[in-house]
Amino acid sequence: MRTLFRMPRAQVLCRVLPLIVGMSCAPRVDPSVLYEGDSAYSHITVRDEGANRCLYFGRTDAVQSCIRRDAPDHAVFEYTQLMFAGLALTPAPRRVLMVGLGGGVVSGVFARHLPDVSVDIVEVDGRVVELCRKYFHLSDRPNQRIHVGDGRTFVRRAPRGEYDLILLDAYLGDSIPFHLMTAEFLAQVRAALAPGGAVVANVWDGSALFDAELRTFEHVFPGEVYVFRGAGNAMIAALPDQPRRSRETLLRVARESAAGRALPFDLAAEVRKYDPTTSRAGDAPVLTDDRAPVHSLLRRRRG
Amino acid sequence: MRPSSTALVVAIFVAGAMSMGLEMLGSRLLAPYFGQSIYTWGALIAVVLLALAAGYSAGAFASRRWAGLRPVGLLLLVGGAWVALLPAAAGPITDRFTAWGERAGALGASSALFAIPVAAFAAVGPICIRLKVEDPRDAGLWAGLLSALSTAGSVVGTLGTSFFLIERWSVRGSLLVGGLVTAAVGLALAVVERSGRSRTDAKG
Repeated sequence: MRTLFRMPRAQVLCRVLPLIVGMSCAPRVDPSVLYEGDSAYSHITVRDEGANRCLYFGRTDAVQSCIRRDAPDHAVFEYTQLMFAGLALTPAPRRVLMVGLGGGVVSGVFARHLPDVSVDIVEVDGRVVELCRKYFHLSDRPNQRIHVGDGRTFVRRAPRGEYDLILLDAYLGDSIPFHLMTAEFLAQVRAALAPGGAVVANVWDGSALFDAELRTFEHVFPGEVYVFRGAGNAMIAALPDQPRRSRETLLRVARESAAGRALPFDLAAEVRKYDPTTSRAGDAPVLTDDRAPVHSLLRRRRG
Repeated sequence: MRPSSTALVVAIFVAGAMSMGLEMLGSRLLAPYFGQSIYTWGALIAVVLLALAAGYSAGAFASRRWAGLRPVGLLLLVGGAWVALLPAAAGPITDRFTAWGERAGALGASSALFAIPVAAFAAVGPICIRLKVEDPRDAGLWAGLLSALSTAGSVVGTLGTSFFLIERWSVRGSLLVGGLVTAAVGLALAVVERSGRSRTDAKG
């Protein structure tokens, strides 16, 4: 007992905690872990896995993003390319807003292949921005501004008609920010879109939450919603105040959009994932600020 | 006339349930403006704790002058009415604080929206304790038992909102109904004492 009193507090804690909760203060010796720590928002891990480098939020079973270390343009996950299906709706965006930085893969495509496009990135977690700079090839460039803050606050303050393309990529695992899924938020997104502009949201399509988000999109963008379905994720997109586009028109616009650019993937192949038959989400609720049962929907299978 | 124990039990339980229920629902009112970060939660919890401390202190002094069911009822009436107004008032009020930034804004908006009703609910406790204590040797007994009852109410308020009301029903509906029910209970308590007193007066 006397020795315990002579130790610095932190050491006492390290002696006592394992006895109570099985925690340990011993440093991790796993050399593949480049970073592990807590930010104001989550427990973050950066880890090398074979040729990939991955970013994890929360426990290490929820991967946020991965890149190939030797080929940053290689899409480890399909969704980073599928998001560009938005170019079939708005082929030549000049001003883009990304809500959610993730592993910086999408912003990297803009930086390397669409450098003329002005990109605003809003990421809630400043630590994620630091880690992307250090480990995920995120670099500063004249046409890119990174804002640390809440996506909804940023969109609400954005001037009307500011953006040609808004990419929403802030929904992951258990930490679904409900206030970025509601009809009120999508109405703010709609107001921030320039004429002819489009919004694309990356949503995991394995739960009833997808149906509810689709229904919420249909509510705010009636008859203006397009779904591009990938293997696990799907893009819910909307093109407000424009004539409805057929599959053929989408493909034609995408080809025109890709023609003058050096995209690191086949845009037409992504746009072919357009799914006009997607069930229009029967009895799923429209999500509102007042009622957004995101967690119970996430635990329910799709209807 | 001494107030009935049932009335005191109801008052304390409702006040405890509303304090924590309001905190949980409050996080949903703030999220559209400040997100739902650790900052927002920290600000909200700090404001609720401060309001509890202020309410306990105010109730402590009030109990020496206004010991009766009527002040208890009035506190519930004011707190409940305030909560019932939040669905309409929270948006425009919170909006004014967004210019303060994430942390100061969440602190400011939490104070403006929740400090008054939480303080009112907290002030109920000391007055009820004062009403139960006849023998000073029982002071600790009643302070302990009624605090436990208030905390039991808070548990119901916490789980009821987080496990049930927010997901299955509606944030604004919960605030409106919870506030109106609390105000009605407060009004009933105030009226009960008044009629009780007039009866006593008539007898005397």
